[in-house]
Amino acid sequence: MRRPLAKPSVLATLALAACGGAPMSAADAPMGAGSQPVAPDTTPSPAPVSAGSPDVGPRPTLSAAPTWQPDAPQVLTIPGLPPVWLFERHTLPMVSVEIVVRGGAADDPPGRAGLCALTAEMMEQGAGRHGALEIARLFEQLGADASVDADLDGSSASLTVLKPNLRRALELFADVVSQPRFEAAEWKRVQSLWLAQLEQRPFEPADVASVVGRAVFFGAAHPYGHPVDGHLDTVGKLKLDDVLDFHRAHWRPDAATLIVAGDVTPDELRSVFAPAFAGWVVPTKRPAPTPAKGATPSGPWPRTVLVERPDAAQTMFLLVANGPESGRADLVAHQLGNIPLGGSFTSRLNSNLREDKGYTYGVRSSIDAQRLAGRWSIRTAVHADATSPALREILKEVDGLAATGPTPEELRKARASAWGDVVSTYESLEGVTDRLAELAVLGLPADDDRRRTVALGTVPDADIISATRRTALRGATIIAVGDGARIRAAFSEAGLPAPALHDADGRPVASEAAKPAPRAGQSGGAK
Amino acid sequence: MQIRTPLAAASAAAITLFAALASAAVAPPPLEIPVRRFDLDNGLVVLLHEDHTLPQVTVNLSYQVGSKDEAPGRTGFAHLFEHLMFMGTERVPRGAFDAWMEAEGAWNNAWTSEDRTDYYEVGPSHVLPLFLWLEADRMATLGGQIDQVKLDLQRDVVRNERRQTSENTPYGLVELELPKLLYPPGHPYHHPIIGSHEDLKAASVADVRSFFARFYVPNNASLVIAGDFDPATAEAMVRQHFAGIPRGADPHAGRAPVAPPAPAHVREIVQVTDRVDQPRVHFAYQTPAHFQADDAALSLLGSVLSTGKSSRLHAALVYADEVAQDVAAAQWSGVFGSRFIIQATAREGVTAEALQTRMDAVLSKLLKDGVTTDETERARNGVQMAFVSGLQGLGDRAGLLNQYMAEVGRPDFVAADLARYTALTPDDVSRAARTWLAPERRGVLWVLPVPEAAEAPAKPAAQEKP
Repeated sequence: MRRPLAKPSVLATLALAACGGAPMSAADAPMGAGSQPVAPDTTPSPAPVSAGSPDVGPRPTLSAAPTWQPDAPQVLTIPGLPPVWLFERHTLPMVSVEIVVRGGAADDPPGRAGLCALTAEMMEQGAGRHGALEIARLFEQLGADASVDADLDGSSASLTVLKPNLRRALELFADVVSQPRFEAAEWKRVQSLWLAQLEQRPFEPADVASVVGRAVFFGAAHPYGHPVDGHLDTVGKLKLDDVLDFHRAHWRPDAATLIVAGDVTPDELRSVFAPAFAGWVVPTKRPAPTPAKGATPSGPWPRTVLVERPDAAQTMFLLVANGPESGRADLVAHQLGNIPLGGSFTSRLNSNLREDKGYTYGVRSSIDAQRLAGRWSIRTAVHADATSPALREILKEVDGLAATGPTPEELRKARASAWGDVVSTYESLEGVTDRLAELAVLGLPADDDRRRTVALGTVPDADIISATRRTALRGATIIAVGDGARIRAAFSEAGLPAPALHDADGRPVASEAAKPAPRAGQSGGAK
Repeated sequence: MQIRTPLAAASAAAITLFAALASAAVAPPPLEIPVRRFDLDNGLVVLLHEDHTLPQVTVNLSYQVGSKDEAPGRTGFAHLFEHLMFMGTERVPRGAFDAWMEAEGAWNNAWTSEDRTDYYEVGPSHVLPLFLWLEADRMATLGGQIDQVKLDLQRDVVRNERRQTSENTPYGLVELELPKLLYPPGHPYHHPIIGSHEDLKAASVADVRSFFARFYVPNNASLVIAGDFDPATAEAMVRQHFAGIPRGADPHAGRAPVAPPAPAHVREIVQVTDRVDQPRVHFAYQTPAHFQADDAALSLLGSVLSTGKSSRLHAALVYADEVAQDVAAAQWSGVFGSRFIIQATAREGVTAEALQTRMDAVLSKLLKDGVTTDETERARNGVQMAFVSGLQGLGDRAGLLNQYMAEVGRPDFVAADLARYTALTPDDVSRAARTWLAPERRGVLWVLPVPEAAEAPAKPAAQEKP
């Protein structure tokens, strides 16, 4: 595959064995020209071509771009249901449903990291009249995809089903949300399997960087300081009662939004959805308060962290800095300002590190705007031999953009590609429900994508330039996972402080006691 | 969305057909991707699929060349070449391909498989003329424009891709090992798509030029335009930009037919060590090619074995016995033959050998008793859902049209494709399992954790040196 990315193709039967890359959304995926982005000269003229080359005609002149904003969902109040956001689309007999609640991993109590995620997992292990295997079998019988997932700011239960099976699938789905069985035997299984999977995390450098980045940047006490999946010691201490408490506190209709997209009418919300959810009632106890905001990370910066992975083929870099949280007025300006830095293939970072230098398969930057805090980050895996020059070039591009802000061409590109992303999001029902669920969890209005899409064109250039010039990335927290000697040298050559040594869970370790990540593998022959 | 026919019309008839889903006798849903085909004199096949739901258009240009077509000593070349296709031409300076597109809000990518290489662009509908011109330009002239600098740069990127996806990722070595375990030397699928560092280093500018001249000819390609466009205008543009590109010799002429699926090439247990927490055991089988008899049955069998909690392997190994933390089984369909892979990752304290014994028990019971009606139905219903759901995206539909064109010679095949599954009975699935998954046909790969002793800081591991 040309660049790390994209959703795997369509149907399970398609042997798309290409060369899978790190998951990177297509529009997030970087790449480009020289360090100086090629100017999109907009006045095409016939280019000179060697004699004998086939004639393909002149480079075409393009007409004006289309204008489009997504339709806002209908916001409906239906007796017996949480607030409903309905996005009608009747072209296929298919329905996608998502119930979101505002209880997320940020609500994990101190010392109980992973509770929200294990609650979601336990909700899939049987509900109402059906045990774990039985309910899975029934959903499959209906050709329905159902799952429960945890995230930082909220949790969601999702269902996608063909219309004729909607009623039956909804009955099961409502049980999953409101009547999970939470059986002790299932808990034992889930907890033990979860721990087994956490044992694997230190072996995946990209995951290690994420976990350590969160712990070091926010601090372990911050609501965002731990991974959604938790840690070995915190998950090991969880009890089934904790799960019951978390579900009771957060999975309640007065803390939920019901998102529905596809072949459904408002009448069907009353006739099909409301009866299915009749058993889901508001408890008398007051809902859990939203988590305290936590201290905004405040340095001192720059700060460097090393996680040892001796002889690793690549060094994984993650740079993290404060960014805007959701709902901030300058969020769109930041999102647009990020695109020239590392938000698309032709971004400065990717043009330089990949296309000019060949240090990496790809590098990207992103704005991660959550409810309590926001981050601006850069992430890449570089050839171990290029550890030092790669870090130098990353810092150079950060400084370069901060010094001058984006060029007019970059500003135009940023607006256009951000708009293209919105269009792609609205192609599939699951894309729509996921996006609307995100808005609901962040406490944003249902028509926020409409507003935001307009803002992509109207936010003043000066605001975008200002966002990039104020970027906190110049004093970032830098996590590096890989060979210690190379990484120490890289920090030293960049004039940065010597790194603190952390383990794969983000905890500081004394250097002698440091348990290195496993060594490189070797390919053995046949026996 | 534009899966026309009874579906998009949302007629009562379509609903009725779908209502049959959960019952025993499943009627195939009337899926269709409306498409019009025309061919240029130079052999380029053009497929138009209109959908005006969103102001968006996609182009998918598929060349029938993949890692199966690589010369000896040049593994990884088809994919390396894919990267070079973005490095510019005389008319399009290096970097401009992406820069001009992104300036309009469009993006692009490509992928290489054993069988094919697909290039695609996605963007607002007004960018279609640029997409077509850029694709025509590189099809017409790219080979002669590649120099040592461009080659060296993308070679580095590709070698980093290999490091990232195979060498520095748990179990990433599997993709490198399975091909040579399954297929003998000389078989087109004997080597991994990503290739070896050694072969990538050996690739020359001359290789690039001859590969381009042989495979990147209009008569070896098909072009899909999908989305919000006017077909008459699009056809005129295609003719204007592509018609002047000369036809080449048939790049696949004289190619020897590939033998039918044989038992795995290596049948002793192959063991590799990797930076992983627990052992993983793989069973690998050569199976019939995509769209051949039993291909669909084996796909369903993959679901019966590992999709969902109540699937055979999951229920037995993960849920009941707790000897595995995850399981997977699937038919990976290819033009010259498919592979069926079954894998399980051990729980702590479970050896690869013990895990293999448990996997064997599940499989031998399945081969002996066959699959049930209930299992077959659930697997079929999942496939139907995947077809409908998977056709939501414009890019997915464009890619599928080109896949059908390349592999069955006609684009309007989606309903027939789905019918391959809906027609299957439990006996079909059981018979396919007995025929192709017999224990004596399989290869076995164990991925084992690096032994503790080797973890002490020591000499560099056996990594390639640049």
